[in-house]
Amino acid sequence: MTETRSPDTDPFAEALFVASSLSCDLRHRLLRPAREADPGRIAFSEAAQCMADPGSPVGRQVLEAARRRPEIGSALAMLAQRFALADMPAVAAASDGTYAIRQAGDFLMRVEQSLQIGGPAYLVIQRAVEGTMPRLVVGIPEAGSPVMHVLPESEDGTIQLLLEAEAALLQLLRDPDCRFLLA
Amino acid sequence: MAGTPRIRVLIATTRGPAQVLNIARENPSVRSVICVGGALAALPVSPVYDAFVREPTGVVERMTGHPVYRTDLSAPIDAGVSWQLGLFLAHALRVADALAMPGESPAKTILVTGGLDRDLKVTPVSHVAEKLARAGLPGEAPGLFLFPKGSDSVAQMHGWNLVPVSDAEDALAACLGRDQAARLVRRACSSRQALARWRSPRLVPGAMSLIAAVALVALVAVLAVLNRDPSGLSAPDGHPDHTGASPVGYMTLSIASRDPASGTCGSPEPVPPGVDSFEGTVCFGRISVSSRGEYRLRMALSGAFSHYVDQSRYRRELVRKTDGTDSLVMQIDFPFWLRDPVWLEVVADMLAMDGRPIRSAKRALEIVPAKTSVY
Amino acid sequence: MAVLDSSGSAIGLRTEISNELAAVLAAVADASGEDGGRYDARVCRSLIQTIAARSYGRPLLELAYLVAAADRLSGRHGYVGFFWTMRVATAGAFRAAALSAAGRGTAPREIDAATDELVISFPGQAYRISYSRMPFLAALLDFCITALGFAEIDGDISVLLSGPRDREAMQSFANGLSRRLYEFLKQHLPSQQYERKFNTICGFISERTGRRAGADAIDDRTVLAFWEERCADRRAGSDFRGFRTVAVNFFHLREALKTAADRLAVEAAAPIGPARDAGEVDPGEICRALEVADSKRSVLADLSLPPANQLKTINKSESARLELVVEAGDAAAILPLTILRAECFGSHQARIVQAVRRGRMAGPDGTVAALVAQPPVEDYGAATAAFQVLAERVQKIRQALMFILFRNGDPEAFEIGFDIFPEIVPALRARVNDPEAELAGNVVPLHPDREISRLLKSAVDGDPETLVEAALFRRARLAFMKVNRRGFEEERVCNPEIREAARASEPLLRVCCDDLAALLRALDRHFSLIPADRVFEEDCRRFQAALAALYGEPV
Repeated sequence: MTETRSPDTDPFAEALFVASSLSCDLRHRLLRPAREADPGRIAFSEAAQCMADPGSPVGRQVLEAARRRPEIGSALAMLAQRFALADMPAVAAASDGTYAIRQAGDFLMRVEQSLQIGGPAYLVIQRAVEGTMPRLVVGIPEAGSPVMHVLPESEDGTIQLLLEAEAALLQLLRDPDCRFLLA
Repeated sequence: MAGTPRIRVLIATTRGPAQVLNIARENPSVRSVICVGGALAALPVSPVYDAFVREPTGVVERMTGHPVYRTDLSAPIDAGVSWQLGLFLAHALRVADALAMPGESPAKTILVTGGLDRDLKVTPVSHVAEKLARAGLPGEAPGLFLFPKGSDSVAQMHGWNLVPVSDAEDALAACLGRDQAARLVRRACSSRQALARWRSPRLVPGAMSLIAAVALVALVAVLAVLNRDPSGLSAPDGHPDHTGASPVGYMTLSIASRDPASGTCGSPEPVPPGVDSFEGTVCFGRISVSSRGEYRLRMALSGAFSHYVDQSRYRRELVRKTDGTDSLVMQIDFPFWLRDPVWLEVVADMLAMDGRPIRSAKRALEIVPAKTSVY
Repeated sequence: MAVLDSSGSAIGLRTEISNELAAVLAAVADASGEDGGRYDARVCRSLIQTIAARSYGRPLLELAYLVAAADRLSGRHGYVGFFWTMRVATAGAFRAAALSAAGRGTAPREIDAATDELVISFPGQAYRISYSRMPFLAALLDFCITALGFAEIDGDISVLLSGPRDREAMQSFANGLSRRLYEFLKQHLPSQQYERKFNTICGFISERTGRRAGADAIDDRTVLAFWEERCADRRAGSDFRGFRTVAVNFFHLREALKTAADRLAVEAAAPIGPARDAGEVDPGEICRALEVADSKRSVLADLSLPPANQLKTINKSESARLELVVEAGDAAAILPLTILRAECFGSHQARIVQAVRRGRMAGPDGTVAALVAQPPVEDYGAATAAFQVLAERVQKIRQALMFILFRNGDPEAFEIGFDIFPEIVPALRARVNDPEAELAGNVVPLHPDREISRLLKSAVDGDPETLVEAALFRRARLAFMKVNRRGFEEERVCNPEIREAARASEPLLRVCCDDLAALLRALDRHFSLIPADRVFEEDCRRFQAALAALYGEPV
């Protein structure tokens, strides 16, 4: 049986048949839970939503996906630059000797240790002037995956976050080459 | 205090009781937090708890002498104030080494609900009966239900002995006996009285809250008279002020006082020129520049407290331009727990295009805070 | 050993769509908004059609203009802020964003936010984009970035935004993105399989009829003969192994040939342009034709999405039974036996395929060969009866929807009544003209809205024994009381989302009813000539032979 193009066929009919079949396939793939094939996949619009409200269910879902998939983390970090209220550069010029402090613009970010042995570390973010407070802190190392953390809401210009002493975010804070964004 | 009978503290809530699992002193540079079961997420009520603990708004620091704690509960508590009496008692029992930790057999279990004001009077709360109903049995140890005197009728419930209380001493007496309760409450009150004497020995405590505000208002009134020479500025190169703005318009130093009674911050008030000290508690200091140009603003707070905090937190610098329509503002928050005088120094340099200062304004202010008990 | 048929889709098509593409599309289609999806069903369908038809050229040019305008309109977050800080992508949300941005003192002069559209006056001719188009363009950009990466697309956009914003720059950006998308789809949405299928089937029809393949040459016999030939030809590839797959291919082919013929007829009088002479096809034209065909085919998908999904009008088994009928569309009346064969023998073949997968063991029934020798579980009589029952059930559901709409004072209720009970039309028209008497139907009411409101009220409050509208409402109420499905609870009848769901579901169910009715009429005609059991017997023999050729000889 012939499988070559019949010279007599209408290219429009062929194109419509192909498009119609592909559209049908796509529709039926979407009726199935298609994300099961790639459960970590998120739409870009959800990443943007995450930046706008990282504490929302969508925001948390996106951050969880970013923890599992470095490429989502990188895309998110890049997006965070657009939403950043403060960009704390890698250079340690605005840091103290132990890099426990970062400062940029109106924002100061510092780490305080617990008095308790094995206690948590406290990440404190302060804004000197009244204004929008960040909801997400993003640490972007020179190499490796970015680390993100949702920040609690604040009404008085100070945010305090408790972290494990060995939390990835704290390790990045100790890294003079790591840059931080507050978004 | 080995052998002191342990008391388990349960905070009564409408969703069931939350046990106080642990209270730990924390770094004075952070804020007090309440967490659940050792987790790292601070409950939303934490900022209110911080204010409840820390002087001058709080009552716990007055009793314990330490301004910051991390407290772990077995279950979350919502916003509101009905946890205040329970957590105050837990702190007091911790001081008396009588707070039962997980794994310890308590001699007594107390289920507590009630607010607490700065005079350690118990304030009324809602849903008292409902909270008791949700508590279940106290366990093997005898159970006391401490609640505000005057609450709506609370039905007896098996296992719980109902104890209406009107102040913290009443509540502590039910736990530790009258003598020990009186000693603990005296410690808390003595700090407050000491504060009152230091400020104004002849004023009744109720009037004390106005002192700082009155002091500041007086300073502002002085400013109105002395405004003729408000500068405190110098132009290092001796050039005239080309901006045309008055020196006051160039840089303003303001401070916001904190009402020791309510703990609330007042509005920032400009510090009159020539004034170099302020007596009272300060929330924050602020400098602002509103003339067009590029500026380097610097603020530094120094004093005896510096030896145990990261001093770089209290040195701030900002370089930025303003087109004259907005003000450049920089603020520095004062530590809450200050007991000794501190010095606030501020500098505003107007910069040339090459970044060198062409004008400079400096101020220094000594802040003498309210003295507190050493306990 | 036969090559296994791997059913890549719910309908049984063997598909070569990559998991990655499916996941990207699913991510965009499922993107969360406010209490639901970010994009509505219509936008998602347009996105799928655009991708399937590869007709993204013009939309990407529109997108270039919109991105450039959005960047000027939006605050410090630039175009990202304009497109994505709103939770739900609707025309209203974009209109609000544009009007608010344009109202600011810093708004750019070259962009005018009009009532219905954005007028972009970059150098060259003014470009207009309606707000109702923006949700689709946002979904397209979402798809591009999700598929190709933010860094890449944002880089291209940065170049666009940093240069002159003239037509050339916009076209250049659109072309660049089009190339990227083309490369991506080449990998993840291969079309060669369907091009091959098209030529194979058309070649078969040409050989069989001795003339160019046309829609009228496709009938039930042709479909079965084609499949039998492919089964017999063991060298043939795996494109046409499943009968159900072949049936769907023929539905699509018939639609494509019919549309192409209609288009030729329309254009016959017009001069033929150079593009037509060169055999070029405009993807935009394909997309528009696809939109028409898909609007009917996607009714089941639309019923499962907001706002219709607040009401469970169709359950899972009903949906499975309707799937082929809806996919066939107009062809349901032309290829009734093909649908019946696909239902009965398609399921039978699926069981055989499963047995082959399990290592030629077919569970308690024995070997694959034994299964091939068995008749299908459901014969044509039973399948036809099941379609009949389904048609009646869908009509009952529509009557229940009519009740919901009556209770909400929605005139759409009468539309359903007219469609299901056409015999009431004269009496109801008379009621509109004269409330007191049933009179002639040639009088036009002076205030139709007022009359309809009066009728809606008397339908609910009036005496069903004397008033035709009240009798209609009673029937609707009885039907509603018998429906025990999610959303059909009396206490929720007046909830706005239930009313909205009823309004959205009704036209979709009407399509299902029309298709079912066409199928049943065609089957009735067919079986009045040759009884169903005789057709079934003959088909059993033919399918057994074909399946034996595919999967092994029967015992």
